[in-house]
Amino acid sequence: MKIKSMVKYLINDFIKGYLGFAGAILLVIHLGVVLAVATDGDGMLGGMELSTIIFMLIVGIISYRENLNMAVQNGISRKTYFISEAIAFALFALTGSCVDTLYCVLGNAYESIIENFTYDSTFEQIFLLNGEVPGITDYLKGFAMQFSFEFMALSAGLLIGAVVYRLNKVMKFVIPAAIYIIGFIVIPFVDYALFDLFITRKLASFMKFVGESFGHMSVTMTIGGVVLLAVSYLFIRRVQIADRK
Amino acid sequence: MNCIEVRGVTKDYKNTRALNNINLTFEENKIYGLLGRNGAGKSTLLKIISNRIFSSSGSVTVDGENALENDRALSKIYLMSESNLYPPKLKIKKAFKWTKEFYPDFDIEYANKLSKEFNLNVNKNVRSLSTGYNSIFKIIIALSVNTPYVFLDEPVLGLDANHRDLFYRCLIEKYAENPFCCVISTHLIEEVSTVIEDVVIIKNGEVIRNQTRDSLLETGYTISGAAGAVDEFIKGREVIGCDMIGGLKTAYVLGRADKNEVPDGLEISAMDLQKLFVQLTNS
Repeated sequence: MKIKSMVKYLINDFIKGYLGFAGAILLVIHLGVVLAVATDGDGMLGGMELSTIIFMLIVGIISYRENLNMAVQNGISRKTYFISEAIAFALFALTGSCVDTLYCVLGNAYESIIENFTYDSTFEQIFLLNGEVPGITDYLKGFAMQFSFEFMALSAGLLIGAVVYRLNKVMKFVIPAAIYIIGFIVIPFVDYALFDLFITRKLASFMKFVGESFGHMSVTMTIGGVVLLAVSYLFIRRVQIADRK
Repeated sequence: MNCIEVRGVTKDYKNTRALNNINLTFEENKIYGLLGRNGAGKSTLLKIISNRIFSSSGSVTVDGENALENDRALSKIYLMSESNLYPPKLKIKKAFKWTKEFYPDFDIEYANKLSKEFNLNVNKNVRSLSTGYNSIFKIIIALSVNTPYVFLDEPVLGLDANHRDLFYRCLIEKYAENPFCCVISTHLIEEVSTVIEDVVIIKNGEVIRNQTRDSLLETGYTISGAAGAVDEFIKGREVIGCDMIGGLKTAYVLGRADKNEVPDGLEISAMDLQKLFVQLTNS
C-alpha cells in the first residue's frame, strides 16, 4: 500500500519536469527540420537520447533529498522508499526510452521526406552503417539500449544524491576532488609507473567488449544500474534525516 | 493497552550524550506535555520515535510492534516538527492531497475548514509561507491526519496570540470528538498546562518527572511573605528555589503543606507548572 502511494508520488513528481523536457526535445527536432528546409545546407540532427540520459542522471541526483524527506514525513520507512524509487526508475526509464524511440521514428520519417535532412539516433550512430535505414528490430534494440542507459543514469544519480546527502560542507568538496585526483591522476600514473598500463589495457578490453554489440551494452548497463542501486541502498538504509528550517 | 513504549533509548552525538536511557510510555487517548529546556533532548526523542533518526541503543514499540523502519507502526504516528520536510514548491492543497494518499484517514474537508479558520491560502506553496504560517500549515495537517499518535514539536512557533488560542481550541475540540494520543513539546508551559493531562520533563537527556499534571503540581507549593518569616518556615524543608523582591520572599518547596502549620503573615499557594518546571530544571 505504501509502496504504491510512494511510487504514485514519485511519478507525479517526475512527470511535470519530464513533460517540459520532452517538449523541448521535440521542439529541437522540429527546429532542425525547419532549418534544413529553410537553408541550402545539410541539416543533421542526432544523438538526442544522450540528453535524456543526462536528464535522468540529474533527476536521480536532485530528487533524492526532497523525496526521502517527503517519505519520512509521511511515515514511510527508508526501505519502502528505496523499493519505490527502484520501481519508479524502471517506469521512468521505460517512459523515456519509449518517447526517445518515437522521436527516432519521427526523425527518420522526416529524413525520408526531406532531402537535405539527416537524423541519426545514438543507436544508429553506434551500430548501423552510414545511410542505413533502421528497421523495426533496430528500433526495438535502440529502445532496449536506451532503457538500460537511462536506468543506469537514474541509479547513478540516486547514488550520488544519497552520498552527497550524508556529507558535510567540507566533504562535499573533498570527496569529488579526491575522486577526480585518484581516478584521473593517481591511478593512471601508478598504472603507467608500476603496472605497465595493465589496468588501462583491461579497461580498454572491457569497453571494447561492452561496445561490441547492443546486447553487451544493454546487459552491462542494466547490471550496472542494479549494482549502483544496491550500493545506494547502503547509504540510504541508515541515513538520519537532516533538519531543514 | 495500546501505547508507544520507549525502552532504554540512548542517543549519542560524537562527544555528547543527547538522551540517556530513556524509559517512557505514551498511552493512547491522552494529551502529554513534553517539557524541557533548550537542548534537553525533547526533539531528539520525538525524532527517534518517528524514525527520522536512529537511537544509539534501546527500542521504540508502537502497539507492541517495533517502530524501527516498520511502515505499519509508522503509519500510526505523525510528527509535526520544527523542520519542514515538505518540498518547498509543493502547494498546500497538494500537500493535503498527498497526505491523504499516505495517511488514508486524513480528513481533507477538515483540513480545508481549518485553513479557512486560520486564513491559510491553500494555493500558496510551502516555500512562500512565513514562520507562523509554516507552523499553521503543519498544525492543520497534524490535526487532520487522524493517526492514533500525534507528536507536536513546538506547534505554536511564530504564532500570534489569536492563532495560538485558536490552535488550543481546535486541539481540544478534536480531542473531545475523537480522542487520540497527543504529545506536545513546547516552551510555552503556562499556555499548555490547562490542556495536558500528563507531564514528562526531560533535563540533560534524562527523564526527571513523568506523572500526571495534577500529581506533579501537588508535589510542591509556594510560600510567600516577609523574608525572615519565610526563612523560618522553610527550615528543614526541601526548597527547590527562591525569589526575592525587596523584603518579600517566595520559596518553592517540595512536599505537601499543612495549612495549619502556616503562620500568620505567610501565604501558601499551589505551585504553577511553569514555576515548578523552572525550579526543577534550574537546580
